[in-house]
Amino acid sequence: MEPEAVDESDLVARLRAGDEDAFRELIERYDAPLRRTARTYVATDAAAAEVVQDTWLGVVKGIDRFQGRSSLKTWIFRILMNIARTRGTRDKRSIPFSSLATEDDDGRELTIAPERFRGPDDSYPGHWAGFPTRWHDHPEIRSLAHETLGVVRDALERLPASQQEVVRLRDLEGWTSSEVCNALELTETNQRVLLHRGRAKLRAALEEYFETAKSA
Amino acid sequence: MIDTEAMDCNELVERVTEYLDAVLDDAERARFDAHIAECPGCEEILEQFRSVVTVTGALRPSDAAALEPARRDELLSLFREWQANV
Repeated sequence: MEPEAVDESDLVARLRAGDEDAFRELIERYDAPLRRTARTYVATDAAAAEVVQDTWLGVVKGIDRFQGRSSLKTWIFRILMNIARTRGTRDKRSIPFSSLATEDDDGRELTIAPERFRGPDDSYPGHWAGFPTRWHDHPEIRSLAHETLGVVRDALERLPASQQEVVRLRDLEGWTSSEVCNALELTETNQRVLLHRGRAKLRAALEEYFETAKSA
Repeated sequence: MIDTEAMDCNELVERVTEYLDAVLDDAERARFDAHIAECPGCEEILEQFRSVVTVTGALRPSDAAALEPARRDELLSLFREWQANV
C-alpha cells in the first residue's frame, strides 16, 4: 500500500468538515506534482497554476462525492486531467515528433527502425544488422549529467500528450501501473503501450545525442 | 546460438516495457531471458530502457522545493472563500 493511503480516510473526513489543515496537507503533498503534470497540456507555468487552482476547487466541491474506490491521489489527478485536457486543447500547440518516431507499414510505432534488423531473406531474419552503440553506462548517464537530463527533458515535452502523461506519472513521479490506469482511466495494456512508445522516443533521443553530438 | 524460433531481436525490443513491468508469462520471460543472455545488442537495448527510466526519474524536482509560501497562502485564502460560499 502507498504510505499516503494510510491516513487517507481521516484526511477525507476532515476535508469534508471544512478543516483548513487538511486542505493544507493536501496542497503540500500534491500541488507541485499537479502543476508539473498540468504542464503536459498548457504552455506556461502560470496557465498550469490556474488549471491546478481549478482542480482544487473541484476537489473541495466534490469531496462529498468521493467514494474511496480509488486512492484520493488518483481521484484528484483525474479531476486535473479532465480540466487540463479541455483547457490544453485550446492552449498548447503540439510540436511534431517525426524525427524520433518510426512506423511499420500499418502505421504502428516501432521501438527501433526496421532497417536496423536483417530482412526476411537473411539467414537470421529479425536480428540486428549491426549492434546498437553502447551508452547505457556512459559516464554522463551514470552521473545524471546536466546535458543528459536536458536531452530527456526536451524529448519528454515533445511526446504526444497521451504518451507524455503516462511517462510523466510512471517514470518521473514514480507511480505504479495501477495508479496510472486509475488516474487516466486506461486499461493496463493501453497504459503499457503508451509507456513503451514514449520511452522508446526518449531512448532514441539519447541514442542520437550519444552517437552524433558526443562524437562531433 | 540464439533460439531464432522463440523471440527475434525486432520482437524483443517491442516487449521491453512488459519485461520490466514483469507482466510476461513464464514462458515468454524465459525466452526473453535466454535471448538477452546471448545477444549483446538486445541486452544493451534493455539496459538503455533502464537508463531512460532512471534519467526520467531524475527530472523530478526535490520535494523540499515543492510548495512556495506565496502559492500556499493564496490557495489557503481561496479555500476560506470556497468554504464561506458552501
